[in-house]
Amino acid sequence: MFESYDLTGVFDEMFEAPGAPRPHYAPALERLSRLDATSFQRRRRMADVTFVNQGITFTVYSDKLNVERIFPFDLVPRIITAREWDIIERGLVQRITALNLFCKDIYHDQRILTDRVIDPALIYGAKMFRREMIGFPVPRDIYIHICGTDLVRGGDGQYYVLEDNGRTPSGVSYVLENRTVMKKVFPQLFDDYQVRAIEDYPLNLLNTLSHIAPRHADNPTIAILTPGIYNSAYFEHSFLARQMGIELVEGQDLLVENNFVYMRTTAGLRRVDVLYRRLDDDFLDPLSFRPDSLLGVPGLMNAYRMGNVSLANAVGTGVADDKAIYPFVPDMIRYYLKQEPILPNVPTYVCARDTDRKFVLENLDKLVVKATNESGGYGMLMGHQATQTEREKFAELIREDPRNYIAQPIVELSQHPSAIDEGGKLRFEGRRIDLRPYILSGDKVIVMPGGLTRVALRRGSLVVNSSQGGGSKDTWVLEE
Amino acid sequence: MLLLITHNTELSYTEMISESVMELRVTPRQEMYQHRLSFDLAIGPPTSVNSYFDWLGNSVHSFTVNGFHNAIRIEATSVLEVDRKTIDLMDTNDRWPLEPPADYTLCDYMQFGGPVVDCPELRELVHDLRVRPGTPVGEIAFRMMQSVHDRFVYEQGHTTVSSPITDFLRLGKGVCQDFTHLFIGMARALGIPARYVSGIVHPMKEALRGTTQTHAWCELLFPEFGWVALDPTNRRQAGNNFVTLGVGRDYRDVAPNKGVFRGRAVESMAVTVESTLLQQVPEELAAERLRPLPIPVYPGWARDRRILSNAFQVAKSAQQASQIAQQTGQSAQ
Repeated sequence: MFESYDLTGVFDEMFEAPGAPRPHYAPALERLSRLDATSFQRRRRMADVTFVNQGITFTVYSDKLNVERIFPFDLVPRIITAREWDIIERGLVQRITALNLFCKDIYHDQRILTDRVIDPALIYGAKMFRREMIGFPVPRDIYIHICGTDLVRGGDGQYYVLEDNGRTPSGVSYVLENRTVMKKVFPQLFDDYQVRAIEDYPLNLLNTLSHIAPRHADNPTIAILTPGIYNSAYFEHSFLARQMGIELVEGQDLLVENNFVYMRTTAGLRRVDVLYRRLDDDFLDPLSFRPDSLLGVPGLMNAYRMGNVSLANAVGTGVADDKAIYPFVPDMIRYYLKQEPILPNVPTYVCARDTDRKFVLENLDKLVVKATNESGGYGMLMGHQATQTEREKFAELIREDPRNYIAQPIVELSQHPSAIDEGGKLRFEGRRIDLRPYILSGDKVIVMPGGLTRVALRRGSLVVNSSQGGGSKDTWVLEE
Repeated sequence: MLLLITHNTELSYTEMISESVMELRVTPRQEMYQHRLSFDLAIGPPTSVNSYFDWLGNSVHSFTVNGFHNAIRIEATSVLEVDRKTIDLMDTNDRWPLEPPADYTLCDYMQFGGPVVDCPELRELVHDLRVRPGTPVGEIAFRMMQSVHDRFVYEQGHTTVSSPITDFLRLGKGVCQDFTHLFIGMARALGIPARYVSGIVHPMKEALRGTTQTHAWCELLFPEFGWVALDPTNRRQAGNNFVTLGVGRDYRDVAPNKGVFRGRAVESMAVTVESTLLQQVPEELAAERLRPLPIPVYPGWARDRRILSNAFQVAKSAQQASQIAQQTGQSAQ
């Protein structure tokens, strides 16, 4: 099944050399090799049926039909050693600490700007810089409570940070469900490993949210604010609410009275103290932000400003995960923590800088161009695969609005064997993967061991976004 | 100049509404040139009012009326003293182009955004000013006022408060917001920091355009003098009869009132402003006072009639053009 497995030109997670698995993958490989196609198919069907029955689906927005799809699940688990994880974990804790200090600084003293570590024009030109937050002390100085940082592994095996999703990162429900399904359909695989548990994530999340409850709330009421059933991550919102035993509310279920937020219940109004909002800033409060938003809660910002309700994540964290500000995160780490970054960034060209822009325009065929305020793989150009027309269109866009674009060299993601089914014959082929660990900052910073490994299921593809045809696999972090 | 200003806003609705949430920016600012002695705010239906300073230093009052109602009344009364310095625009030392300011927060007053849109027509207008290196900034301001005054007509009913300057440039007609936004756009195109001012003008002898109610003008930053207040609608500098309520990047930052309510009613708004020149400070002034007005709420109303629509409406007072796009509320992180 691994006979024709191709290792050329990339970092492979399982194999050091053809036929030579890395030691921590050997027991898994041994078990997988002993499987026959039929029993593997059976397990796969079991897994698929479980996902459909649970309603674990997502929607692709650009797709006119807006149909729900299941997120393809790849049965071969990704395994990360304790030693490797230790580096990732320390790197992520360092990064979120710096990002939270950055948010606090940007909305208060702006030392990093007055010291000219970051060009102020970059911040003042960022769409997600929320001036409403200037001078407003958020509870316990935490801005990003829930972060989903994307990591990729280059040809050298080094982990790089691709982006910090510090607004409303999604996907953690897949991580939890993938593990449940994996245990159900492939229990034997776990026999040879001590895999670190992830099942305490909902409890940790709940503690993180309780940590920021307003002082007057002894036994705080916490709720998840969802944009509603048409949102692609609605499943996740309801899943997390159920796991934590808290209410799932939409904007229309809430009401502001005398700067407190209340939930309409069958027994009358009930005060809400903390909202885990899965709604972008723009839609939160039609009075403060987009006036046409029907999804938010009018007056919510006033209640927030008065300290009567806490929001996770805080308003305005988008300034930290703006793609044109991302290149400065290593500088933030040096500036605020006086440390060297443990996890490096992917080299990034900021089109707002003249020299960078010139280089980008001259090398469009070798670069990935991204719009700074988009995410999820939208507004992107993969230079080497694009047509001349597409490249010219992007060159035009960059010239018109340089602040809105950055470019990066094409990162050769690492590959991992995926089970490929061709005409009833089971084979393993390398597919590109990334990793999104989830980081909670509350009383202390907790990194969930593992995270979402996304797989680019199309052969040779480097795009892992679920909206662009990606799948996922269970991710194991080993105890020792 | 010692002034007593009453600034009343009456909102009425064709049907019962509920859950009104409002934000007011109607308090005269405390400035070097403007000293507020007293501010009295009365709101009905009676409710609790909270106040805070926004990031621009404007003072904001917010309140909610959740019960059913069909009218809201807001009365803001201030006593203040204005003593502005005016400058001779034809005699200034600052030369164009200006050095980029050391204070980076001025970025906000130098970049385009909201209704102040950069466009070829704006650039053409700026080109026609024939600004050359070395031209005094005061003279540029004067030419800008001349240009806006000569080419555009003051006429109501063509634009709204949220109209971008592209509309004004195309129509050639508009009101004080449009004159001000365009003027700001021209200044920013030349690298001169410019900000929007919302306020009230006490009528003096000569007829000022757009003075019956609230007014809008602009401030340009002259390195030599600081902010210089200019009224492009009337081609003049702001005098002591100009009362500043709020400053911001453009109208969006300083709307005197904006609100959201639940219901299907159509809103109409009547604003009346009166100002009196005082000879002496009245006795027994309260520095700041909040009062309820006897406008009713109808708690029993919901039992009598069912609400058909659940949709929130943006109150017309905000007059934001709303295009309801497909809303998902979240980018795909």
